[in-house]
Amino acid sequence: MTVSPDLQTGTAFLLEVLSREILENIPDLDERTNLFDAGMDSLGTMQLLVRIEQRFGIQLPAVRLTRENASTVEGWVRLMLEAGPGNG
Amino acid sequence: MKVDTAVIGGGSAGIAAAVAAARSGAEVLLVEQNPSPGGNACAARVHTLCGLYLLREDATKPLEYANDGFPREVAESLLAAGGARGPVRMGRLDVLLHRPEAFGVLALKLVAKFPNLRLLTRTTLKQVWKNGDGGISALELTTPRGDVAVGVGVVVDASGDSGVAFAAGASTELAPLENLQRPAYVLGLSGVDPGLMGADGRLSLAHAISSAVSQNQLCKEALGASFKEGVAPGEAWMTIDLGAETFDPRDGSEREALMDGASDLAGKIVAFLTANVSGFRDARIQSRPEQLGIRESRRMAGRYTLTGDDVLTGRRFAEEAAVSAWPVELREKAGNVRFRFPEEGRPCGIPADALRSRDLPNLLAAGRCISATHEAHAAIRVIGTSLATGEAAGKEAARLADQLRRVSRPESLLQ
Repeated sequence: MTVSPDLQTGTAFLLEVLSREILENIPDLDERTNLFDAGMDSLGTMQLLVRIEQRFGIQLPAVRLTRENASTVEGWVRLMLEAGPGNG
Repeated sequence: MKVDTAVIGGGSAGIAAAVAAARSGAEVLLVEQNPSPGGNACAARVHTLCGLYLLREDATKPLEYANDGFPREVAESLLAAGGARGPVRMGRLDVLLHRPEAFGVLALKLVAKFPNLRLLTRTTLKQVWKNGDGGISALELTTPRGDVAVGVGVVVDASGDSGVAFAAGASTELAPLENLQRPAYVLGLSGVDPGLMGADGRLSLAHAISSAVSQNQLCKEALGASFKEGVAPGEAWMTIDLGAETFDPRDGSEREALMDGASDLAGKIVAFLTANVSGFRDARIQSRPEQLGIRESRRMAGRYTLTGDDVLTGRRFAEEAAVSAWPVELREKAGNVRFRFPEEGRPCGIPADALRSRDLPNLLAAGRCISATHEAHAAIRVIGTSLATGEAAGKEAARLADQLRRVSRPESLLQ
C-alpha cells in the first residue's frame, strides 16, 4: 500500500532512509545538507529511487533528476511533490 | 632451485615486492597463478589507482604522492605510456584512471628488467616446508611443467588471501563472510556518450537501472552497478558490487560460480541500457574481466595489527613501511558504499610490524595480506597503497635474506 507524500512525510522518510541505509553517520543531516558532499553516489541514488517508489508509488522523471535538483533532501522532496501522487 | 626471496602473487603488491627486492640485489622468484602478472589492476579490470595521493580538503590545495618510490614510478610510467589519465577528482578523493591492459604491459616490462628476477606464471603454491627453528625453508610449487621445490631465504605473501601464511601454519584472520567487502565484477565498454559519464549522466543511468528493477526488467542485483569514465572519451567501465553474502573468496569454485552469474547479469544490464538510454545506444562490451575483483579475504596476523582507529586518527609509528592515505571505504553491502575520512585528512603510518608475521621469522606480507583489522583493511587494501607496502616488503625481504645468508655462512661476515 503506497501513500502520497506531503512535504513533512516526504522529508522525514528521506532523512530516515538516508541516515539508516545509505549514508555513513552524518550527525547533523537535515533537509539542506549537500548529499553529494555527504557521500551520496549513484548507488545511493538508485537505492533512494527504489525506496521512494516502494513507499509512495512514484517514479521521479529522469530529466528532472539532475545533480542540482537532487543535491539536498529539500530538492528530492520537491521532485517527489512534482511527480506524485500515484504516477507509478 | 634456491632464491633469496620468493614473492607469491603477481598483483600490484607482488610486482612491487619483486622489483624492490631485485633492485636490492636479491635473487628473486615471482610466482603468479594467472598467465601474466597484474592482478586486480589488470585481470579484474580495476581501472582506478586509489591511494596514490594524500587526501586534500579541496581541489585548490597542491596534490602530493602519499608514497614516493614505486607507486609514483608506476603512476608516472602509465601516464607517460598513455595508459592513464589524471589524477582526477572524484568527490573528496583524487585518483588516477588507468587502462588495465597498460598496467599488465608495464608489469611485464618491470619484471623483465632484472636478470636476478625470475617470473613463473600459471604457477600455484602446493606446500610450504619449514626448518627446525620454525622459519620457511622451501616452497613446493605446481607449474605447468610439474611440481618444483624452491629453497627460500624469505617469502613475501602477496597472494591477496594469505595463502602462504595459511599453508605455513602462521596465524591468519578473516572477517565473518557476511561482513567482507563485496567482490566486484568489472566490464569495459566503448562507444558510450561521454556526456553520460558526467554527474548528471550517471544519475540518468542510475535512474534507468532503478526503474528497470522496479518494473522487474532487471533483477535487484543490478542495483550494485555503477559507472566510471575511462581513459579515452567513449570508454567507460561498469562495476557491479555483488551481494552474495555467504561467498567465500578463498574458494575457487565459488569464485567461478559468482563470476558466471555476474557476467550474465552484466550482459543483461548492458543490453537494457543499449535499448533504453540514448547515450548508450552505440555502447559495446570492450573487455570482460579474467577474474573477480576481490576486495577482502584472509589476512596474515602480524606483529602489529593496524586498526580502524589508527587510520581515522592518522596515527604514526616509529618504523613505518608506508603511508596510507585512503579513507575507510566500506562496501559490506552491494549497492552501498560508505567512506569514513581520517581526521583532517591526515595520512596514517603503516608500521613495518604489520608486514611481519607474528609467528614466522622469514615471512612478510604485502598488499591485502598485511595485518589489519576489517576496518583498517578497508583503507589499506587499495592499489596505490598495495604498491607501497609491496615495495617495503621487497626491500625488507632482501635485507632479511642478506642477513640470514650471513648468519648461515659466518665466513661471509669476515669478508
